[in-house]
Amino acid sequence: MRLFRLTFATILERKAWAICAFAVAVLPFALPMISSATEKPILVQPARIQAAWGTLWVCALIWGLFTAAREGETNAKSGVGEYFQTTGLSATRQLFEIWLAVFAFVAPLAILAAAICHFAAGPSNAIERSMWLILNVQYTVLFLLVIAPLLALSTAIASRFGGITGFAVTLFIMLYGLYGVGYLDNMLKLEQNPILHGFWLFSPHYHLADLTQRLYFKSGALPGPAFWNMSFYFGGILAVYVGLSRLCFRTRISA
Amino acid sequence: MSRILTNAISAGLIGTGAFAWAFAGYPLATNPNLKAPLNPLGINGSPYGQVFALAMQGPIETYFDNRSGGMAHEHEEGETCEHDHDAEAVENNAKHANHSLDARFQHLLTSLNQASEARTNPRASSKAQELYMRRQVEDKLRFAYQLDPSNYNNYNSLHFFLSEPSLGTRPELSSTAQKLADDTIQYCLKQQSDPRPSLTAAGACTNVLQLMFTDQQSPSPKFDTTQMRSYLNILNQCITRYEAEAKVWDQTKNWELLSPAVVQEWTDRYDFVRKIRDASEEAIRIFESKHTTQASN
Repeated sequence: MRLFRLTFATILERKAWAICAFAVAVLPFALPMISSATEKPILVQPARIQAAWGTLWVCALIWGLFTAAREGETNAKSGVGEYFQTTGLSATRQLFEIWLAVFAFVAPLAILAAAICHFAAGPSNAIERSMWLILNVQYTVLFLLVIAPLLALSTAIASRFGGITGFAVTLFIMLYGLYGVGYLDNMLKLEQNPILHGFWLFSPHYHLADLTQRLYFKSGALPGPAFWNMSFYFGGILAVYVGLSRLCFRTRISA
Repeated sequence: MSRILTNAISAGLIGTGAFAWAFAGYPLATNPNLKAPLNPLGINGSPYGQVFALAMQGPIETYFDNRSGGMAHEHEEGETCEHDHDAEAVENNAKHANHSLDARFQHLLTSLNQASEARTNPRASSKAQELYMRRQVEDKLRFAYQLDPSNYNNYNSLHFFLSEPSLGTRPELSSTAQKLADDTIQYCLKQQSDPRPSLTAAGACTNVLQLMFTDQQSPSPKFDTTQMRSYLNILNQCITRYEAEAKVWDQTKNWELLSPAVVQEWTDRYDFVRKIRDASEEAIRIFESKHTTQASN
């Protein structure tokens, strides 16, 4: 796990993670102060929920994907990847260790957001509180299932095509899955198009993993079968991305 | 070039630049002629804005559904719900069971979508949530409206929200709704070579007339029949304009660029607005005769 330790130490040393950790820890408490919750204190909790998960999504999409891309590019460009290959560390193993180092920063951010949401914006009713815990755990699992393969894909694309490409492509996929798919669906409801419909069908429906609305509507936990179905669905996407990442990842820039 | 000279040039550039910036910036920032409404990338009212306004219908529905504490529930306007959704879901499941992989996958996505929106919390929404959701609904509706003020659905949704005291969160609802209608009429009548905005303007006139008729039931009505007549005139103007522009579209075959469902939707709206117009004229006549009777007594 030397490459993991090296990548982890590099990210730790750059200290940009501290900005994300600060944002996720502080913004849920600071942002409600500039929202309409100052006029109506009962709005503080919904505003806090939105701030906590919103900040997490922004941090993961911008900082997480960018860091993953940068580490992938550096590994290929600086000769580190080539060096580890000579020591017997395969390309797949290198991809896994780089991914694990980035994931080790993103996962605690998600747990932090869920903890803030649970302890600082939880309902007082006992039944709702148990559901609240389940929903927060479900949200954390789905969030990590969605972001984890994209981090690997970002690293892999960046190692072959450069950091900017790795970051931009995965960010686009993520934003498309979160919002674009929904807009495309609305368009298709107005006017049917078999090609676009097929494209919509096999698009990554990441919006399913965004449970922020469930939290602030206090809709309760996801039904068990639906949660397992979603996990299975995102597990499938994970497998596809891992396959693509393995194909795409390079330990050195080809001549 | 010496280091001191290089730094001096940089300092000089920064100094003169900052001076020019501050000196020229103030009159520009305070010039009222240069003030423009906040419109990132010019998206509001643009052809792209119109498409986004259509796409906004989905999120609005979600908020409305959640606000009313229900699940995703799609029906035609005015249609009541007399069927059992659970039974339908079971039936659909059975229907889809034997279908192709494509259909099965679509069914999986649909069921996941429904599950992600389904409310499992046995308790009703709290006051705080209600208030928060209302504010969210209003902001979303206003955002969708600003993207395309001539969009019939988005205008009517916002109007409905603002004119219903039990739903709106702002106090001065009637006047806000009237201002919204006036702005919409003004915006729509400026649009050229498209009949549809005229019908949205007509819809705005009927909404205002509706508010005025309701106002007559109060002990001291704020509006008189002259004001009603003026909106009725605008309504007539809008309908005439729609008919003229629709004819032009018939000749240029522009209607064929739209899907048959959308064309049918506009035809239905036209019929609806015409019926409301006739009913409004009749109502104004009744109010006028009532006022004449009261005056003669």
